[in-house]
Amino acid sequence: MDYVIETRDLSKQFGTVQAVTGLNLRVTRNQVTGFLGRNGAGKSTTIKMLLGMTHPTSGSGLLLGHSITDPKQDLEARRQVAYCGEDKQLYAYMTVKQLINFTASFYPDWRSEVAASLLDQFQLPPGRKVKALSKGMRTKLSLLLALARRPALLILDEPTEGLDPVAIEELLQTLAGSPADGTTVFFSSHQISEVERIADRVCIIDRGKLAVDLSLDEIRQDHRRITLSFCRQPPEHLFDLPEVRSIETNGSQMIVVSSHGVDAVVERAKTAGAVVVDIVPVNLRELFLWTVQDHK
Amino acid sequence: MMLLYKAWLESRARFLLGLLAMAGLSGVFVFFNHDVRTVVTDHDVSYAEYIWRGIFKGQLRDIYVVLTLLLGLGGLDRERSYGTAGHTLALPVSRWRLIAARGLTGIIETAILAILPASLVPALSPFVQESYPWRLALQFGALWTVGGILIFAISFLASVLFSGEYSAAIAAIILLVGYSITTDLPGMEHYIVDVHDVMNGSGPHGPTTLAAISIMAVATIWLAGYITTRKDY
Amino acid sequence: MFKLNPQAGQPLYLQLMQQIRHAIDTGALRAGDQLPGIRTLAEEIVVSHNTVAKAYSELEHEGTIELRHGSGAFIASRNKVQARSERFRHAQDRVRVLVEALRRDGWSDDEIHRMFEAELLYPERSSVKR
Repeated sequence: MDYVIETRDLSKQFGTVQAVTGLNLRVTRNQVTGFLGRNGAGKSTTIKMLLGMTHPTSGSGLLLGHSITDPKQDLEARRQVAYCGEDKQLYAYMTVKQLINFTASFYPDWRSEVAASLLDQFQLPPGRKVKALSKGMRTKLSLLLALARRPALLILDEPTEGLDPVAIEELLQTLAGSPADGTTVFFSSHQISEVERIADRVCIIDRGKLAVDLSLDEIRQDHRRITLSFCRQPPEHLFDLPEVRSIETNGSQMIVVSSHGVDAVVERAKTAGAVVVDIVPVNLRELFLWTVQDHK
Repeated sequence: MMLLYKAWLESRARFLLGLLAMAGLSGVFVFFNHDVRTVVTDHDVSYAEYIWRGIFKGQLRDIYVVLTLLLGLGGLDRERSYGTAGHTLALPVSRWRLIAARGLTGIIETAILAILPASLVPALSPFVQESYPWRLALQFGALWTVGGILIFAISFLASVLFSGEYSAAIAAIILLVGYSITTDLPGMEHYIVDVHDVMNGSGPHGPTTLAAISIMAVATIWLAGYITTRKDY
Repeated sequence: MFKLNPQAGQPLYLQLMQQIRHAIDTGALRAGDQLPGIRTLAEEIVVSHNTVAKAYSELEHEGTIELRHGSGAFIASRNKVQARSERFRHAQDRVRVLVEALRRDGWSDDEIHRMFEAELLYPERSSVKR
């Protein structure tokens, strides 16, 4: 497997707070991978460690094959990485044109024609100072600076935040087509529906740990939500199966979420005299909420 | 190099303001020397002494110190509060290069601000029927440059140690004042030299002193760089 | 042209394959017609490039489309004949899903058989129901 990002037991502690714990993240080349997590779960810290902005407390990682704990190596990796942070701020004192020229000077993979066409498409006035741009325009400029290159890896933190629906759609289109350029996309987002549309794979980080690492195909095909109706109290550990992700009890009803088909669960339900009320697929939002909410 | 360009743009406003202040005040001191003389001293002095008291030792020197202090501020910690640190640190450049670019730009600006009064005074004095020797003026210019670079370095270090908008500036001022007080303590003259005295020529100003101060300044900037490479942003 | 549902319990590439096959079955796409390029389609319907690539690859594998290097993707000419058998297989799948659901509900095979017979043998009663 060709991984563009690979971490081994990556951890970061800030004082007494453990922001990231033993993270083993793997992002495959030429895929679109979504990175989900609550605020404070460790998404930004992880990305910062990958880009050499924050030093890991322990563990290691590889970014495009380069060690993230070695500043020189990480620098080499950054030549082929385009990053749009969640801050969405750019140098206020530069004009759009100055900022483009500034950024372009650092990257041999810069494509001026793409930059020019994006400048047009995003309707960004080249002579305007960045401090006079609206938040939406700044976000677009930030995206322009990333997309005008042909980076091996695109890391985006909340890329659609502050954009209008048309701009969001255009961005998702661009991201969806990126693997054709050989660009891997790794983006974190709170917009689960966006991730659901274009991601091949999703990684969910919860309280500093990697809780879910699945392809969207696996989620759609194998994850099922089974609603059962019991006439008598079901035995305590009836569904102690490895594929059961969560169990919720509502009076005489039980909702079981399985990650590998329904057969075993239905089998056991029948032995306990339960009736299968319905079986529905699991969508990403539900999977996310069950993963990160406090477990009963 | 584009990093120098960025450092220049970031410091441009402060530098140009400083340029204006230095040029303007130098002009005032020269052109209005009859009126300003009474402000500078209460007894009769020669033109050269008046210039020395007013500019190279006096108010203008203090303003220069403040300006170089201001030039030292900024850097990655300020960028973090503005939200642009991510963009800068994601660039494929080492943190040392970022530090070097900001440091070099500041040193050059500090030097220019120092040379300005040193050049304007001898150049403009003839217009008020006075004269001031170029050699002396440029010597002061050199002293100011060296002293200024040290003050810049102290402020530069403070900007790395303290991330608040004003705390870095305040810290730098406190450091500077503390430094002055320490050098004024009895017995300290043999160990440390007061940079203010160096600048106005009343303290030691030989080549070894200047070299030592320059080395201290570079070492201070180096320390700021070292701390920056270890920081988390 | 194609609309995929990220929330249906089916991988997107399978949905796309089905919709392409359906287009062929209904005649919207005919043998020899060219399909959009992978990237073009991915951007048009806003799904991952890999999804379209996988769908095209699988469709080529089963002979439904041809990928001509350099020119693009085309509906295979054999499809005219295959369409019917394909549709039959799809219909069979639907029956299988229904039968499995009924079995899960506890109905025996015999009872299910009787249900189907009833439905097929008494069409007037069925049409009245509707």
